[in-house]
Amino acid sequence: MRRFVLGEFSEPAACVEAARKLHAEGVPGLDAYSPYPMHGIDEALELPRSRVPLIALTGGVLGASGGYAMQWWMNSVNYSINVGNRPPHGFWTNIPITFESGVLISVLSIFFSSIFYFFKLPRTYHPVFESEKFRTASLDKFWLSAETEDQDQVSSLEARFRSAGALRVHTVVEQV
Amino acid sequence: MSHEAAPLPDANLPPFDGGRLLMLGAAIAGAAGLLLTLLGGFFNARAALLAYLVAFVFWLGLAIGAASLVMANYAAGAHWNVTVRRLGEHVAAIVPIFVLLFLPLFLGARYIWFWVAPQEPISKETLELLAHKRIYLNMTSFIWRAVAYFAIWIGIAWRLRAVSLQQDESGDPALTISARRLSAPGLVLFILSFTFASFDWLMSLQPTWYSTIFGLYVYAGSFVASLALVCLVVTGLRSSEEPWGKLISVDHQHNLGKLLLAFTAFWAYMAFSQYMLIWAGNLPEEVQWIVTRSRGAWRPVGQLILFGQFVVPFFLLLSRDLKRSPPALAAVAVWILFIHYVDVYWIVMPAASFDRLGLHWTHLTAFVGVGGVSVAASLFLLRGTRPIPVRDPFLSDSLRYVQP
Amino acid sequence: MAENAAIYALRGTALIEGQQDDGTLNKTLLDFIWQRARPGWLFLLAIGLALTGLLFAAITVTLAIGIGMWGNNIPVAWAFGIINFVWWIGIGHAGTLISAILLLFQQKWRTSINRFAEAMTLFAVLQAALFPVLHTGRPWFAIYWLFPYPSTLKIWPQFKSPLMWDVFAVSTYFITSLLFWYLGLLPDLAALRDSSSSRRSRIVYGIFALGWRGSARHWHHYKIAYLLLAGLATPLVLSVHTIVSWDFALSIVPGWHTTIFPPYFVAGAVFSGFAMVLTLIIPARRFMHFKHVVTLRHLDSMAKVMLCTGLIVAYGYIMEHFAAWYSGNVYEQHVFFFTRPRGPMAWAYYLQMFCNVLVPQVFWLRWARRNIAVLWIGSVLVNVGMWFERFNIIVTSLHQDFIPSNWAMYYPTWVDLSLLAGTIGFFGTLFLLFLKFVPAIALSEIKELRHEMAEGALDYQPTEMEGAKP
Repeated sequence: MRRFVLGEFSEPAACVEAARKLHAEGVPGLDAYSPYPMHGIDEALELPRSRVPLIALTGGVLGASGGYAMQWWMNSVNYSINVGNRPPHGFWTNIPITFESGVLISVLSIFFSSIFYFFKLPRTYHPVFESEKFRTASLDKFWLSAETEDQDQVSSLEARFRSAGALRVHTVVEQV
Repeated sequence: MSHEAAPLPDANLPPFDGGRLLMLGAAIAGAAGLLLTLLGGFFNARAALLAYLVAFVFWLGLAIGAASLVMANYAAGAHWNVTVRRLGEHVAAIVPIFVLLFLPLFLGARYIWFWVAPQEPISKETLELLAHKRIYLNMTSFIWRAVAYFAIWIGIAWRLRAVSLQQDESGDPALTISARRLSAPGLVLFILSFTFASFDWLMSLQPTWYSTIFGLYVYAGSFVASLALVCLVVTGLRSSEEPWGKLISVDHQHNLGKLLLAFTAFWAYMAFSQYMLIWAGNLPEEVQWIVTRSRGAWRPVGQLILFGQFVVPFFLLLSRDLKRSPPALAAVAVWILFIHYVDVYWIVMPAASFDRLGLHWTHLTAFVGVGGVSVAASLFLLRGTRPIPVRDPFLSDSLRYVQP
Repeated sequence: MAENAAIYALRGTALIEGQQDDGTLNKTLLDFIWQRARPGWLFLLAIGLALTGLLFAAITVTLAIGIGMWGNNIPVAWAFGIINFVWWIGIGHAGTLISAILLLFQQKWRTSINRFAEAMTLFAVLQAALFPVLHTGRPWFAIYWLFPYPSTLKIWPQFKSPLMWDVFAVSTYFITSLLFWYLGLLPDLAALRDSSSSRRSRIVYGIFALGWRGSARHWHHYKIAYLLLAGLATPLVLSVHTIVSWDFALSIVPGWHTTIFPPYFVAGAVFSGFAMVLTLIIPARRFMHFKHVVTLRHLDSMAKVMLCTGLIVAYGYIMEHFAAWYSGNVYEQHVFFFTRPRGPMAWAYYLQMFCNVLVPQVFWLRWARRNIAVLWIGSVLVNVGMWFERFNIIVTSLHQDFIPSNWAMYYPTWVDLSLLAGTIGFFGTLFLLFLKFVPAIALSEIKELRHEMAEGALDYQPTEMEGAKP
């Protein structure tokens, strides 16, 4: 039974500041929620460098080389066709599809790795949604959460959230 | 985004007076180079003039590209570029010396351009074609067009510089408005005039050949090279002891690097569009151009350009760290300038020498000659001014600029 | 005071007008979705649906009887089908330009219009994709004609043909635009879920929001993914219309085979796309009350992009005509100096030149860029002009080809006209549904922009400056 202590802030700057403070204090499972990306939150939570670019590059290289290989194999190896006496393996005319397939595979890997792997979406349930107040997180308020298994820690976490400047603090319990 | 305003530069900072040795050295080397090229011209007029044409187009293209960069930023209402703008203005401002430098081309036109005085035994069809083009390709209209090009370039480039320098004194934001008003039509005029200049001076080297994208191809190459030059100057200034150099931040350098990346791809796009369409169309009147340039001695040169002007710099410039490191970016910039020279060489020389590279010692002297004079003129104009427009209304925005 | 006026003119007006905060933005921008459908919207939807019906009727006729129902026949083997394809796909390009290229150029004004323009892209590409599929005549075979599918014929698609490049380019473009759009939409779908008052809409939007909760750990990847998609979409969008231009330029038909085609087609696509954005957003901002986020400054900027791309198109025309003369090629000269300006379809040529070259010149004037009526009429004319540009390229080049005995006139049939009108209606229907069910303004990005403006990181106009307006 995971418990999430939630704290609401009305300004992103206050939320980031509180996140920095609580992170430095070593609050467990800290996360922030906002309707748009908050400047400085990555540094405050010390998030590691995103690996999305690496995935994009890998997808792009694989897609482009696959696209080129496909054209080369199909049109000059497996079933060679003479078109206007151009060479069966036309380097210049292979470039457009090579480019397109590189982009396609790169885009697909960025999108699906983000949704399925980095965001772990789609999900039908998350404990933070237990709170009706939390609906403002996608509208106009900024939230912090800390995660704990231990009921005894909840009150001390709530106190820390208040002292960090949270306007509203309450705790939700995961319904399994 | 950082929100604290960066300190504005001290308006009492003395005007730039560095680069004295470089200016003198460039002037001497330039004069010597030009004299030696002239000497070479007495022995082999055609070789020396072709070498001179390559150097002329290379260096003039830098000025045209730099002027376009300044105007494009004005027209787009950019704020970030204020700290690097004056450098571009001073690369652009050297156009007037090219009026003088054009004289040898005018005097030796019949050695360079086949259509001026077709003598060799040529086919009836070619003669008819040249007769058809006579309205455009004749010396009188050639000269008048050159006069028009230079009038446009000099008028606009000098006006941009004058407005900017005037603002250093008065600080009047209305001057920025007038520079913006000038820039949008100015760009139109620049692109059109440079297109036709490239037709006159480069495309007509093979007067039976034509390509509608050729103007943009030459323009794109010159623009990339001028960006590389600005990158080189900026990295140099930032690494020097010059107090003005400290005002150009790594973010400005980074942005220039990004532009260099984008326009490297832009050049490749133009080059590929031209090459692939002609290759696939395979019409005799068009394909002559790439046939000469992709056979024999010219084939490796073409491949060098493909890799050197696109593949290598493009993938290097993708790196964020490279764009932010002065020595690394400077190295890429020098490489791009070199390969742009090769590109101009590859455009000009095969027209005259189908089977050989046509290397001649005057290529070196002409490059140093035109280049030395250009560098000296640019530094001469820059010395005594402030390398940063200190009273530009957007200077504080520019100083505050950070990469997202 | 004069100096203030100059600075004011330089800075431009604010991107978001009035005193706004996240709450008022939520309310004003989501209002259209939560309120009951208005009669005007229903009326337009009815027209759209009627035309969609016509589209499906025309498609049925085409498939049941064959493309003999179209007006094209040798020598004009390509006509309305390809004209409409190029026209629609060109319109789509503005969306990607606004959402991707302007993002990379850090043009903050894109924020208010990107969602709108991206939706336009998707729907326009959808219309465009219909035409080549129908043009194959038997679309149910198209799978192995167009895609590298190992059929029993053992033959593969011919990759030296630009029509194959088109298949890859258009499908990549559609998929990329869709994913890019959806990724941008995700936070706003969550906002809709969380601002819904009925259980049903909460569930429906909740499903589409995929459980997005705006976690900082997600935003961290999201920002980079979004930027990378923009970075990939930028060369992609240029490549798509480039490849469309190669459909023509790789042939050796006079008037088609010219090297300027790629940049000139791309510019033409953006030109017509911005015209379409203006045509749609001018009424939308009025009836949906978006004037505070889509201000005159936005319209002004769009008009400038239209002017700039219009000039590039004009440059393309100059180069084509010059090279036709300079080349000395009689066929080229015939197309550019006889067929088009003096042939039986000369009226289309002059209409094209009027709409694409003369009309945009009015946007040199600030007055015209900020006059709603002039802007709207100008944008409609550009749309018309760009359709006729493709008409001239395709039909006039073909109807008088190398041998005069081959020459023939071209007339569209009612099926051709119904397909054109029908796609306009289908596009309109999809667009109206989009306006009603999805936030047409990228809410989360607008809120971020407002926050940045309030922090003074952008050129925000303090309200007292409004008094100094010249």
